[in-house]
Amino acid sequence: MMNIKIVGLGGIGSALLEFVGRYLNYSDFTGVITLVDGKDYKQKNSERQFFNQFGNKAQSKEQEIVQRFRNLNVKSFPEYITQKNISTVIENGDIIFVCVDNHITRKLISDYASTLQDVIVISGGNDWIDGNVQIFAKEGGRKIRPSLTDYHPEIEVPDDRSPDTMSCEELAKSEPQLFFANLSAAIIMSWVLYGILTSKEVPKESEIYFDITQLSINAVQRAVPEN
Amino acid sequence: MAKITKEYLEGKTIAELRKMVVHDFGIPGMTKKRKSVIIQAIMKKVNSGKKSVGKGASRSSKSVVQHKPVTDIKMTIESSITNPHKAFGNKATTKIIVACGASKGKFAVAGKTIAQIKVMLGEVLNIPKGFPQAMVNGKKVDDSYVAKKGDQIEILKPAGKKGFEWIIHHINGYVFECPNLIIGHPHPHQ
Repeated sequence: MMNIKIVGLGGIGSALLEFVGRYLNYSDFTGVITLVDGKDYKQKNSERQFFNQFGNKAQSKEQEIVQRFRNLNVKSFPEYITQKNISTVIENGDIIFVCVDNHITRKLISDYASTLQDVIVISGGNDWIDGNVQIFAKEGGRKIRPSLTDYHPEIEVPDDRSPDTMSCEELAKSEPQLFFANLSAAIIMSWVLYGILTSKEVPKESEIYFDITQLSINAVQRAVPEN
Repeated sequence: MAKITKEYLEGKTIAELRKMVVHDFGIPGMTKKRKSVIIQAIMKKVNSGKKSVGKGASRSSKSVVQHKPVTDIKMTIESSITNPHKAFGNKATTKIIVACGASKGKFAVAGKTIAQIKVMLGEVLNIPKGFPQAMVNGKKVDDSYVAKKGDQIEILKPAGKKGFEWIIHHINGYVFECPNLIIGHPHPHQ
């Protein structure tokens, strides 16, 4: 059985859950959707994030989604994903949506997924008006799409910090983002899921870039590095 | 074709005239001229009574041009172009696909190095400053690689992260945090 993990329920993750949750609720999907986030929803998040109640993001969204989409089996994991707990969250056969705002966590998930036999990682990120979605996949122990770090040295050697190591003051500092950029990343990630569920294949394109001001999307096929 | 008069030509758009001047009249050097100049050139050609068929006239397929009989013998001239890319008015410039993130296009960059291409197309393709890796036909190359016909070039764009790039400045014991919209751009505080 295929399970879905959504890591990060901020600007991208909360939007993605709206799209994906609604679609899966009316599909024949029988797996479990696990929501992962250690952060809380606060008033200031209303500008870009979908939520009905304050408190831990994973738990708040779980409570909300189970009432709205009654066919779904939703669980929450109200912690940041870390080296210590990642093996309890991510499992073989998962589809993992990475909707975080730091490269440290992207690398952590990519590296851990590299140790699994069958896994699909769909990672979205955005800057102010542009962003990208990456698809990393393993099938039968073989890497069939590049990892999140293969073509991205900035993820391979991240210069940021994991949210679990940051102080409350640092976490409270919100960096400006554009709601539409978050939505764009979430929409493209949902396209990827739709493609996988309907065609039973991972898209050949492993990276999709978008730019809101240029009104453009560019999907790129990349070879899996040999080593 | 309708009778060619100045009024008839003035009723045409500039795009139509540019097509006509090349394809129907075979007059070179007119594709970037103003409407009045093109009309003048066509009228000159028409009035000279030497209207000829440009090479481009038969670009799409074979064409048949009937000439007035000089004697009682009817004559037919048939011509075809085997290399349409060399047809009159077509520039045979090699263009190469260059992409960076969501931006993509075909550009005349054959013979230029990756370093030159990054500078040349920096603004057009929104290439991040710094040292983004370039790929040619899926393989990583360095900045000295010279682009050639058939290459597909991609300048790797860093993954989206979050909002602006923030720079932390420490000046005289004070900490300043400023959004840096252009990565690598020196900030006034520095």
